[in-house]
Amino acid sequence: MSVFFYTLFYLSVFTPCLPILSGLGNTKNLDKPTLITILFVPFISLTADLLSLWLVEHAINHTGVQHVYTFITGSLLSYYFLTQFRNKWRWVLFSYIVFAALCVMSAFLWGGISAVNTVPNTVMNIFVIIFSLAYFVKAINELKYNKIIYDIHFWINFGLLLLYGTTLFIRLFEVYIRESNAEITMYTWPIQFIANILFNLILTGGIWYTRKRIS
Amino acid sequence: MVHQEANIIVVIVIGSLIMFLLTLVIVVFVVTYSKRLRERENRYQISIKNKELELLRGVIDAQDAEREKIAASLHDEVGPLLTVLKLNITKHTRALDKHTLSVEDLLEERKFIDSIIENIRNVSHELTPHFIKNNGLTYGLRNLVSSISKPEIQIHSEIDDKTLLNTNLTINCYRIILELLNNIMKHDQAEEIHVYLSHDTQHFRILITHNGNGLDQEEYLQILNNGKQSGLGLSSIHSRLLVHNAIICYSKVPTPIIELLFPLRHEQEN
Repeated sequence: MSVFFYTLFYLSVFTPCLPILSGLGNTKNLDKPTLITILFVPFISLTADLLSLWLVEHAINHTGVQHVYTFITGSLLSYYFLTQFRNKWRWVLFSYIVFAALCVMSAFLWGGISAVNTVPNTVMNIFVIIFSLAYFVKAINELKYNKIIYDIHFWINFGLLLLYGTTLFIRLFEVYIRESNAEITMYTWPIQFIANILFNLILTGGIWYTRKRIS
Repeated sequence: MVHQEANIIVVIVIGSLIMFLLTLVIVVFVVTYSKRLRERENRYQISIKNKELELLRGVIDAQDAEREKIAASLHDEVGPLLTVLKLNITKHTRALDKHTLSVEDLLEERKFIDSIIENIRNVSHELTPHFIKNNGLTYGLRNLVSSISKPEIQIHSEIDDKTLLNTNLTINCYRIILELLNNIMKHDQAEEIHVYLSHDTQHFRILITHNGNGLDQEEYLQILNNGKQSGLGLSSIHSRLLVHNAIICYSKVPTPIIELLFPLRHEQEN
């Protein structure tokens, strides 16, 4: 069981390298907001995981890294959605302000930096689910491409919906999972790892698939 | 406690699984639905393009037919008259040499030349109705029907069409009415036709009633959509109506009526 767990864990930690490398190999075909999302969201995830791993190895509380990771990822995704929904920018901005306020309150008021940031994490999951679904509605209404799968944003939103949708329940019960015994951890974290691996694979596949169509 | 932990695991695992499956279902739905929408959109675009091509073909065919008609008029009516005139002049030249040419002969030739001028004027009217441009639709129609003895056609106009309609709309209305009258005379065995021209703030309205057979809207659309069989006339009318965003309504109950509505605001904007 532990072999399975750690295999998934390390795969989850290092698969963000795939979209980063694919994105770097296709900088000409991608616009700036897309490139920033494709490069930096996995990069922040990779950095946060490696840093957390190092802190856990040295028996230091790593929840602070989680706070910073959540805030930066939320900001990057807000920027991405802002470029996707230019005519609904007020909604994205409002969501970001709510999210940022929750991040600040979670880090400095409620549990402090050493506590798990369940609230901003869950809220970010919900916002990402809503905006990804909104993208699909927009894509159906606009029909920019002959096939929707030729659009890189389809793959990004597919990946985001899969990652943030699947991990919603883990985020909701994160405090409970972290405080409980190893059995719960063994059963629940693999879900997060698998979702993260799939997200990175979808991003990578999307970049290469749409690149082939463009060129 | 252990039982509660087991419950939490079940909630998390099943909840995550449901969300995962839901994501897949949504994505599959979006892909297939957008594909279907795209196909429908493509089919619609193709049908629009075909319709446009058909209309264009109709316009070209109508122009060709009009040219043929003018060529035939020139060849059959003006040509022989000019030939006769040429022969007469040759005859009169000889008579002049022999000093036998009389004033009556010249007056007769003058009448003959007048009839040629009249013929050329008729052809010219068919080609570009200048008299409509200068005198308006009502005048043009009255001028047209004055030469037709049967069926009896009456024009009832409540408009000052010279100020109400621009040149383009005037000419198109004239041609449409001409074509409709032609169709009624040819196919409907009408003995009496009334053409009413009126307007309100929004529309210029043409109403044609007659006592012939007539068509209803369904029959009209059926004939129009028959392609080449619909003849050039209806295609030409349809094209002209499209240019002005106008609509045509056929009905034959209780009496045959053709109603045309031309948006006036649209005309002014153009």
